[in-house]
Amino acid sequence: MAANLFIFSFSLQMKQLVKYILYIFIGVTVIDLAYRLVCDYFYQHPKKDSFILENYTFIHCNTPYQCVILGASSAKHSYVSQQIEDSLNISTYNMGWNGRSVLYQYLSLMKAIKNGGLELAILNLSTSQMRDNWVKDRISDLYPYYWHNDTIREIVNEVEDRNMDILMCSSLIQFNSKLDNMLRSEKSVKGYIPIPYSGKPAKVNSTATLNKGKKDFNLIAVKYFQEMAKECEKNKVRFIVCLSPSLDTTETEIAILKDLCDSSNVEMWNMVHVIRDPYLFKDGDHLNEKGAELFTQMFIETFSSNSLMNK
Amino acid sequence: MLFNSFAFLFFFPVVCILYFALPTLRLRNLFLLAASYYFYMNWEPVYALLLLASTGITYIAALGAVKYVNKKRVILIIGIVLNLLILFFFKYFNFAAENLAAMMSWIGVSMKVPEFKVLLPVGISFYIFQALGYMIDVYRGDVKPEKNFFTYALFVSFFPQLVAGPIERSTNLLTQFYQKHKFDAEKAISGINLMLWGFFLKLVVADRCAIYVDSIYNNMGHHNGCSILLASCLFCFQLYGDFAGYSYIAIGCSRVLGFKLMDNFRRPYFFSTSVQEFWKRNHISLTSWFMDYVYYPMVGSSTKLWWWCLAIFITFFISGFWHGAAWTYVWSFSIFGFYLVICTLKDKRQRKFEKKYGLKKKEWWLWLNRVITFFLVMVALVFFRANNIEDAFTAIWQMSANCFQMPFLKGISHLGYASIGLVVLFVAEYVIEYKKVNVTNYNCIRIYSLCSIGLLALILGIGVFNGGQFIYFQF
Repeated sequence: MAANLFIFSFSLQMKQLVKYILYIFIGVTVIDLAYRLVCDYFYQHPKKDSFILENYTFIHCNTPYQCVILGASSAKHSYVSQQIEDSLNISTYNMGWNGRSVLYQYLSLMKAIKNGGLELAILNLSTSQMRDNWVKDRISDLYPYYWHNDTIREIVNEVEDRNMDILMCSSLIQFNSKLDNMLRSEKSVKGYIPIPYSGKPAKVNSTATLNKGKKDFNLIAVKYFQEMAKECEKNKVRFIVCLSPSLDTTETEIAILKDLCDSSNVEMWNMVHVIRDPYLFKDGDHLNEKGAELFTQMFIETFSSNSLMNK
Repeated sequence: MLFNSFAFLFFFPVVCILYFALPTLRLRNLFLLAASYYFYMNWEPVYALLLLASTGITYIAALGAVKYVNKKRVILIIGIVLNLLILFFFKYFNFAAENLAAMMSWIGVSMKVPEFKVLLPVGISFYIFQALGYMIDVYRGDVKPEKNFFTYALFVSFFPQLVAGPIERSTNLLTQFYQKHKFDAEKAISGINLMLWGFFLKLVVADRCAIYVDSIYNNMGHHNGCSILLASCLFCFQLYGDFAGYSYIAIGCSRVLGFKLMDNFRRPYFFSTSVQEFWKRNHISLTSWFMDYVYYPMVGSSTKLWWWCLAIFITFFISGFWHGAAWTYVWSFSIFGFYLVICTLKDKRQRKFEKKYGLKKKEWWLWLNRVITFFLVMVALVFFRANNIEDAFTAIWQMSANCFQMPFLKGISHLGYASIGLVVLFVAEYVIEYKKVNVTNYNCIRIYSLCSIGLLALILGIGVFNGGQFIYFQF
């Protein structure tokens, strides 16, 4: 058997296979390195209004803000940062982004705290940001920043349940399907992106609400949600979980989130039903610009009265 | 074990090295058998018993049919029935019970049906059909029964094609287990290339299209006809990428080990000029299985056109059931059956028409027929993908009534990446179809390397890595 293996290993056939594998290895490595140069350039030098700058504020933004808004797309389109800044006289930035999970919010919050001066953190929460499949599916959004700091690395490895160091050496994997990020641009005003008013009523997505009642939360997401509360307490930042208006959110979902906030000693504002007019929504979960302005006004009023009461 | 899993990345090279390192054919076959069972048992170890049962039944039945020639018909029937019982129990029992209850309640009788809570054994339809094919071949005298149980067990369980085909014939695969394959770099390189092509089809084409298709088909009521039309077109490529991807990986794996499996796809979606041709190019191993073991025995020596048509329809109707325990599959394949009946009826007239106007060699005529065929296939596959019959009819209605609206473009980046995959797929298939390049025998290491580099870069750069299962596993 040993002789057989010996002959097999050194045969001409084997040489050809090795040559082929070598060609592939060299070729893919060259492409990988070239891709890394392009991606690193775009991700490290984001242009104004570029998708990357808005998307990864938690990495690039070094400006200290007194108030930050965290969350997914409903946060991004519902909180008019300038309006909050003008009314409450505190510098505000909307750090929300489409489809991001609580892990992204945690990293955004940590960056805002690190930048200094943070007084108020508003987390616009929904059950989907905590749900297991969502958290796992969206973890790849953190891949481009895998080597950026230990916390990101730790979170990615924790969610993927394995060490990703080897895989992340390949920029093709690290920046998998991120080409569009480099090309897209999004114009925002202090992080807020308005959805134009269409004049048509939004449709309620009944099927989208089917899974919202299920409490299949990702335990890592729950852990980092609790970490957010602890970090805010430690740094004397007021932390509010707010549920923005939605036509799709169910009572069960609200109860689940209330439960989560209560168990973590976090203040929760249920503003789901403050706006019901379908003309002020783009769809069941997203307010249009008119809706966002009205909601932000309501939010400011609630905050002011709440602050007065606290005083 | 999934082909697109990290476990397979380790499993396959280890199997290859040990396989070629083993000195005797007997040891090699035993090792491949053990590897195949290990591969299968990664899903649910206990289901290996089903695989073993089906293997045992057909092995004994084939031997018995030769030994007791007078009773070979009875033995064949017993073998078929036992295998179909396994299939029925694990795949169709709940479906049959539900439908029976529904039928009873329709006539006013309420009955509580027992529910059989069990996971569908992966690839059960594939290996049972492969085993049945062998048994029928032995009965017909086309092959001699395999006396060595382990060799036969390897034929049924050969891991590259075990869970989703190609459904191999004993005349092709069984004999290859008696050849001591030498390691051949050319075969290995072309095999790896085929595997990469399969991974590309699965991860870049199928899984990317699936994101858009799922978002539309799972919220059917909220999308307009144009979105549904786009999703239905993409579903054709999803299905093709998924299944052809698996087949190419299977054929590639086998080739590295020195085996030659039958071709399962020959560019069916872009280049079929009729539904008949589509089924000659699509899922060839299953189509030929149904033709050889269902259609031709049914037609016999009959020359009656109506009987041919009925036999085609029945064959496709059964094929629908083979695909899954749901009426959507039956509808989908009945529609295909209907198309083929129409094709058979108009065949002579069309040929006459084409001859009269010299259309057969005209490119525009070919492309017109290809577009029509694609559209017909897409309509039939709406039923295949829809969650239920009502959804399928809603989709057809929406596509015909409201297709001139703006499609749903929320996941536009996914559509963009899917387009890259589809363009590469079209160019590759065009080159093979028109330039007659036989990629499988292309003896040039540099070209192979370039193809592999390109494919690997695309897979790593824009592939979807969420560990999605292959659609045909459920069959």
